[in-house]
Amino acid sequence: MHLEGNDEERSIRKEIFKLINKFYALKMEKSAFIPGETVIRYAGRVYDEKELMFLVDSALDFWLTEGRYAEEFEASIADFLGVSDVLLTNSGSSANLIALSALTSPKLKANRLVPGDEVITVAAGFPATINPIIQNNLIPVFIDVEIGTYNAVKDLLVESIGPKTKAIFLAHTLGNPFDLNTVMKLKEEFNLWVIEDNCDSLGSKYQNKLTGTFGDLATLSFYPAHHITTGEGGAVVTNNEELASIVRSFRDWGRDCYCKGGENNTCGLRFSQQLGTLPLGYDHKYIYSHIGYNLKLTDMQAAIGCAQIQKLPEFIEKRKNHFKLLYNGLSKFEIDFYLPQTLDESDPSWFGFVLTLKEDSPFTREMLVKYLNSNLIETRFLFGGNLLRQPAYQNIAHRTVGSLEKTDYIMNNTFFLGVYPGLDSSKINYILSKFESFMESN
Amino acid sequence: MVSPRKIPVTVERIIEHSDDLRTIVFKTDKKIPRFKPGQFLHLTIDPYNPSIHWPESRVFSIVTSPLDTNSLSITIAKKGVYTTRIFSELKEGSKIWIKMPYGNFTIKSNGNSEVVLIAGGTGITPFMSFINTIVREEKLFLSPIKLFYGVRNPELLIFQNEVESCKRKMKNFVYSYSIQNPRGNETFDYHHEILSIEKIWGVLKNPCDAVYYLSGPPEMIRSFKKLLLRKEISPDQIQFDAWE
Repeated sequence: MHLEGNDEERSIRKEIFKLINKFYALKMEKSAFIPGETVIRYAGRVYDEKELMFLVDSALDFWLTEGRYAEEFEASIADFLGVSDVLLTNSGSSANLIALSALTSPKLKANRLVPGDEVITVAAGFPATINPIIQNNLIPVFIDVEIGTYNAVKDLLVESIGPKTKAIFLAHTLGNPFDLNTVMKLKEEFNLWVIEDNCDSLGSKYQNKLTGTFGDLATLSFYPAHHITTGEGGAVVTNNEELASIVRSFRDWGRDCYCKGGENNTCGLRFSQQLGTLPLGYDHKYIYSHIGYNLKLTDMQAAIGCAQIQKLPEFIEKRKNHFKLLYNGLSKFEIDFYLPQTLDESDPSWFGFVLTLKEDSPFTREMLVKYLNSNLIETRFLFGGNLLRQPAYQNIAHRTVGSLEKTDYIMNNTFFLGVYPGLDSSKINYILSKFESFMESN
Repeated sequence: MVSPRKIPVTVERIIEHSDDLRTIVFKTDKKIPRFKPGQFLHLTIDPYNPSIHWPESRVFSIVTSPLDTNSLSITIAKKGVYTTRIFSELKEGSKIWIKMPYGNFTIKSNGNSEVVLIAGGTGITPFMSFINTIVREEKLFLSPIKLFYGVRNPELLIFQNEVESCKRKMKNFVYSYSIQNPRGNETFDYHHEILSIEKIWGVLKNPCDAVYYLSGPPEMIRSFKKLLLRKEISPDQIQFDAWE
């Protein structure tokens, strides 16, 4: 950490950090796992004294908008993924919104998305992937998913392309990469935009390449359930500089200017441009080329991100190990469950361990989930189940390819357990022991 | 544009072309942010640390190639108060901050049609990063490139070695110098004239299909742009590197 300020300020910061260390050590004394008494969360923030120190360091700057930590966090994400541009946002949902909205920009000319254009997606997922489609007056085209991978069915991807189809917007469900080979071939063949919702899959790989680096744009989430956290937070990532500048505009009130907070005349042309039908020389700081939002991240949140991303490789490994422990321990119950599956090309950085009850299972999902929850083991359904059945989506314009039979099945029979780094072998053994007891009596 | 970053740099070397024109070479311990030839940086000679507002700064085109990962250079002409301060305060070993990269004056391939680079005075600098790059990566740029470089006096004709090296290595690169006030003892070929669109137009194979990149004094850019538009060149075919 680079300490800012003069000698006296730096010395005070050092003193504060020593106290933070002490505070953190005290805090951690109270957090031992007691089976049957401690709740086993499905996800949550995992941090140490570094996150606290970085956050306080940023607070002492009292730089309230994007600043040095945002710059550093962006650079770290760019280095990790190997992308050229990272735009931090206040959430993964906001990242999804501006990623898709960017594709409607007039700057993209004939390639822009216009109302009525279709975007292929799935209903078995989280609303933040499909909401931007609807909010931009585009038509979501829903296709069914596979049980096991919980990603779009390959043949349906191909079948779903119509004359109005212009984009594909899919999430790597629970960290499990979707069929990027097929999606990128379709992109090439039909000149489609591709957005990867990578919010649940930071660190996943497909053909040994990180997800989030294949499509035109990708999004990340730093909500506490995710691989790293900033509290609330997210990012859009891309290797396309034109798209990056459009995304930045949508994120920053729709403005044409790219000055950071507190900066002026970064472009060198602040008072000498004529855009729209504004008079020549109108202040570039107040020229708007898009109808945008303000979805920026604060420097304090980015500071947490800077500490978190240092732990990311370790977090990814732990998620994979926890998944393996659960898989090994639960595979004996394969008679009653569809176990998670991956494509040969995939190496997931798992978000959760997902199970679906088989058709002839002697118990219901509700019975099992209730049992686990009563034993203080948190579980979650697969997000919105079938989003088309949600109250919010009853009257949306959309197209469906075939039935969503498997999506409905997932809605009724699927749930997932946590694999996050806050677990350990003792907690996982406890989870497995509870499965054993349930299965014995059912 | 890659998200700009601020980095501390140290002045490694100062190359004096004349009393009012110098190239400054920087080194840094930090990774140089990725940039494209033609982009620029902001430089401040005032005290800065990342927890305070960025102070007053000036913009300069990056001269080095993005392929140079260890150093960065810019060329500065002494014109006003700030650049005069730069000349008097920056010495070898001086530590300052820059932020980069910015701008979209980046040269793109034009298929088989000509890419015309018109540089007036220190306007050569954004083209130098491009020239320094294509010389090392010949296969990256296949369109015919024509550089027209005009200066008032021969002392202002800088980077001749780099331009001539490019000509030797790249079959598709040609250049022409114009000097308004030559000494008469120059040992290289040049035209004793002011740069002009008419003269440039006359030597191009397909001027209507060319893309024109203009870099130099604002008056030059304004007038050349106007003349090209009068010749019915589309605005999309005219790119310029302009500052307030």
